[in-house]
Amino acid sequence: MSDTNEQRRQFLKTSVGAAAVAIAPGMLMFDMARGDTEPVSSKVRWGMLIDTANCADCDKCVKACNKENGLSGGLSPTDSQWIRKVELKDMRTERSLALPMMCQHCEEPPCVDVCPTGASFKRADGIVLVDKHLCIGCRYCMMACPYKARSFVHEPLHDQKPDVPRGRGTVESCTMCVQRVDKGLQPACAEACPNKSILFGNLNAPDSEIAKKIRTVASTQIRADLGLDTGIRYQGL
Amino acid sequence: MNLLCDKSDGATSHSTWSPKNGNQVAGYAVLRARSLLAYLQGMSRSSFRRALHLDLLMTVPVRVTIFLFALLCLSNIASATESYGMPKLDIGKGGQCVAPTEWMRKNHMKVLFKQRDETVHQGIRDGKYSLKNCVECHASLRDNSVIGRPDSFCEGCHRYEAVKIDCFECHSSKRSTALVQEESK
Repeated sequence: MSDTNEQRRQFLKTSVGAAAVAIAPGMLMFDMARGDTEPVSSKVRWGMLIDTANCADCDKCVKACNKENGLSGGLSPTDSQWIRKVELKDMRTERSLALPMMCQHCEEPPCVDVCPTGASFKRADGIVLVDKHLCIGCRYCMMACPYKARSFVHEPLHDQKPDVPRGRGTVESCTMCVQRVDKGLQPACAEACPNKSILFGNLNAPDSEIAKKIRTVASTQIRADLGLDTGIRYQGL
Repeated sequence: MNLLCDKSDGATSHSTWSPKNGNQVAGYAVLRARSLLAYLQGMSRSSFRRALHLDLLMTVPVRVTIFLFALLCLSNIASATESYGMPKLDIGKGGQCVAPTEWMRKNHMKVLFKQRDETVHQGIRDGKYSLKNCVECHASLRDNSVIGRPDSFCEGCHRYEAVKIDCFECHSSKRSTALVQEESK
């Protein structure tokens, strides 16, 4: 009897082993396709704090953005602008200031709400992006955005950057230089600012520089009344 | 005939070729030649048909002919899968890269789509099936591109299969290291 049991065990062992060998290539392929990196997590929320008092009379952030993302830098209505310098002036006191304006990477982005195809989406780490494989170019998101942050690509493009694919018939906007952020770098505009007026970091980490600063200095969201909880905050408005 | 015989012996192990059959085939060929000659010499069309009908009645030669014809077709198919009409590609680095070549020919779009969605939505950027990786290895060494010429890595096969390729309306078709070098110049 025990002999029979032993044989049965042996048979089960070998058959399980054979099954494992048969399945292994498929599993291996799946694991490799996933890669080593973990998906982005909602434990992180990327944001920026822009110090308007320090914002000098230059456009280095705009130039750096154009260079990093392969934008033409043209100012015609059909040219893409991911970041622009906006000048504000209080007509009564004549106090004026300039600030860089781009996608505010809202927690509750209206562009995502209106997108009919799911192309406009918010990544788990708070970066609002367009999946251009899904975008049909309807431009609802451009109309929904209160910050006029998005652009439509009207003309065929050539020689795009390998890390920043862009194409005709799709909507695009500031990606917070997602290709750099994923590599552990900060966005091109933040790096280019000569006065370090753009502070980039993780709003959710209590000990990050940006989190400490927004705890201590007064900062505002633009159109905070809309309740979008923007990831970009301005200081000294 | 001899040529065909050699080829069939080399290519297929189940060949039933024998000298006897060979003689019969030779005889049959002579018969065909004679009937053709007779036709050319002014025989009426109906009598030629009768000659053909007689041929068909001779079942052994017919069988051998069909066998030979089949062999001929098989040898044609064998050579067709290897070289006939297949695009010859100008590939920077050929051979197996991330998966066997045959598998990739059939499935590259599936793995590319999967990796694409992971990268765009989840930020996973080090997968081996990225389009950038494909271009990096397989772009031509002449123009650093995978499209633009009939023998380019992507365009060659996509033209052959008549499948529109729209990846490169948005994505760069150039090897990124080459682009960096151009910028630094």
